[in-house]
Amino acid sequence: MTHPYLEDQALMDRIAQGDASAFRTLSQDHLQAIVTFVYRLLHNHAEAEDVAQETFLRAWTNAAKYQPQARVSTWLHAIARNLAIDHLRKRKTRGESLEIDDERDAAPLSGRPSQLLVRKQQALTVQEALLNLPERQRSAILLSHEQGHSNIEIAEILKISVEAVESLLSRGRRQLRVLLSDESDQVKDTRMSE
Amino acid sequence: MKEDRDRDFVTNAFSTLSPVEPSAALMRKVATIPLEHARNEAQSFWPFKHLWQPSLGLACAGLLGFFSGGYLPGTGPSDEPLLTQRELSVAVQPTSDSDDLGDDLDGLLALATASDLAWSLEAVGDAPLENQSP
Repeated sequence: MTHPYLEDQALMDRIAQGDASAFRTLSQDHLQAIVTFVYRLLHNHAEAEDVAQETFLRAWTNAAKYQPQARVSTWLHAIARNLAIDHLRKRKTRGESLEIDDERDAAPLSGRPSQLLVRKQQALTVQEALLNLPERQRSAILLSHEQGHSNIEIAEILKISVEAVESLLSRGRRQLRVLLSDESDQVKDTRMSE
Repeated sequence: MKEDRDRDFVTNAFSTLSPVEPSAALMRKVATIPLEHARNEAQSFWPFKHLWQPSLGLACAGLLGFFSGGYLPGTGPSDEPLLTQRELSVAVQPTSDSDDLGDDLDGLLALATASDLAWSLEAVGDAPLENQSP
């Protein structure tokens, strides 16, 4: 039986030796997840794509540094998150705020236009609520609920203990629920007043 | 349990979000990374990771050579002149015209190496030239 990490290591070894086809496999497997993760952190498509590109460039140049103690996905997410945080810091120093680019948020759903509209509104609401979470809570929630990482992997990505991850997730979920409940209450109030 | 309810709630909330598709431009850029950043084969045998490392090594070697060259015995300027007084007086034969003397000196200086220049001038200054001055 082959260990998944050893498979990842074999792939990264080939990339470290300059194997372009191995790198293509890596990007096909992980590019969408990285773009999605970074987009949720930055809320800007152009910046998310820049960060994703830089993430894979670093994966290519630093492939030999990969250690099979974690999945390659965990390693890539850690690189991407660090780069995204750099972008957030630069944005903060420039005094820019986070703005939601909502064109790609809603899950594709075949159905009536009204259903699609509702779905899009829900996605926008979730995205706005995520925006109000502190960065570490947001990262933990995204890595857990959207990217499917375990608490141990999230701890490696965020460079904190597993207990701290559990605490972050607990607080993040609670706050997200409160925020989304408030949003839905506001929507109800607006509809009633109309 | 409240924790579980929160978890389920967030899971449901995330089901409304779709993964972000990377653009064609991004996929093209990522695909060209191995081509644009090809591995440098020289790196496989180059023992230094950064350029400053060999530069620092060379600078240290240069400094060591400079200081050891100045202090080690037998490598510094000798007390013995390269030319004896007689040889100098022959080489710098005074004439009646002071310009000729200057020409001779120029010739001598041209023959001397850069490191011998100061010593030769010092030797010239010691004896014959002073005697010839009016």
